[in-house]
Amino acid sequence: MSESGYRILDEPRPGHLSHLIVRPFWPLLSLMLYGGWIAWPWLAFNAYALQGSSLRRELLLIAGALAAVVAIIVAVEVLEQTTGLPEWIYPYVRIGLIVGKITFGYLIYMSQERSVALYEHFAGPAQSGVFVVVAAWLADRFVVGLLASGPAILRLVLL
Amino acid sequence: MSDAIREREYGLVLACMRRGLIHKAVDGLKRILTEDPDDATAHALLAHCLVSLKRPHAALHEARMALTLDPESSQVHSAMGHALIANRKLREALRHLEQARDMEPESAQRALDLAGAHALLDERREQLELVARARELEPDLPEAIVAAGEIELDGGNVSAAYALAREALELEPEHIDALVLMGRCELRSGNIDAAREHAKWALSNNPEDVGALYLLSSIKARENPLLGLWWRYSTWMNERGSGMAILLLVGAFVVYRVAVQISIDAGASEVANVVQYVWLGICVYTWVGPVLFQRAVRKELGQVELARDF
Repeated sequence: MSESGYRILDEPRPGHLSHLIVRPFWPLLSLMLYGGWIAWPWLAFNAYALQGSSLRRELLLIAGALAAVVAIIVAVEVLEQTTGLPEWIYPYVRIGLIVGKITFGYLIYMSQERSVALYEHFAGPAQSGVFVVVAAWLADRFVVGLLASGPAILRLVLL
Repeated sequence: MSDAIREREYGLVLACMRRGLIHKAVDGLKRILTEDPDDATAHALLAHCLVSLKRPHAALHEARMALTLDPESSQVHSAMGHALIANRKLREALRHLEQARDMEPESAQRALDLAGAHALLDERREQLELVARARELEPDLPEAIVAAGEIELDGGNVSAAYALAREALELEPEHIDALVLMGRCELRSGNIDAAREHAKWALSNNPEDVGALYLLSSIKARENPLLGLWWRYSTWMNERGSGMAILLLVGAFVVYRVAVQISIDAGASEVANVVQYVWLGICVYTWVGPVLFQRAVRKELGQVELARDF
């Protein structure tokens, strides 16, 4: 990527998928609009295509996001079965899930933004993710329908 | 790489750093390090460049490598101090900058570096003493005069700051920091056109100078209160670091969602609607605000004519 041999720690080393790198704003937007089913795989793919210094960290954050959401759901389930939870609390639990996802989304966005900025400095502008966002909008109803018939935990994690 | 070529390469790197051509300086340092990965000076200079490019993690990595290779160099400790400041590790940075100063007690620049760290820690007395010491050591050093001027300006003493900016500019008429200080004085006195001229003058010498860009942005913020609000919000967020910024944004989001939910639970759906419209307004403003602001600054930058020798 760089013209000389010495490589600075944070310089990405994009490989054969570099033409598919997008600015992380697009996966973050898709997380806000459609949920995790599109955003988490997209962020992971973008991190892999970039091969930045924070690749491991970003993949761990994605795993952490999924784990955190599952942990919240399991904790609520356990509390419900042991002590019983009032009905009014569920909308707030839902807010907690959204906040958890957005927090992790932002953390990954900020980490990836640095690598993409460096990539753009050396290799030119990254792709626009608008087509994927539009495709996700078209696919969203189908995915929601598909998940509606599946287990509730999957729905809560991926939507 | 022969000694002559290395010397030439270092000369180019230092010239680029002085002119603010940091990317070019980085390329030169990478060429030096490709030939000799154990060159502590190159690692230290690279750390300085990476701090300027706002790449704090890489800067710290380079500074650590330099420190491993040459722990007895004041330049290396200075680089480490700056890299730690960029990573918001101020106390640790202070220790390294103190070590650098102790290794070169007669260097005004080392005293100024240390004064900068004390300023960030809000330790005004130490900052004042060190700037005064730097001025004692090198009375004609524009950087020391500008540092003294900045202290005066921050303390609200605009006329003293003016005098110091003038003194620095008499010594070096194209000194970027002195031009920026003069511009800040003009802006503080309400002379927006004069402030703009100084910002543009500084930018003609280095279009990437952070201080000059900040001054130009402050001028635009003063001229347009609505966009100025975004500029102040953005500056305030930046000062807090990315972690705190995420926490604040997520906190605001939680407040919004909980407020909507409570309103709905209490049967006050009109209130929930108002809260949602306010949130939508904030989202649109924080999205459109930076775009318009950057466009305005870019338009202004487009009018800057680069100095002939740039």
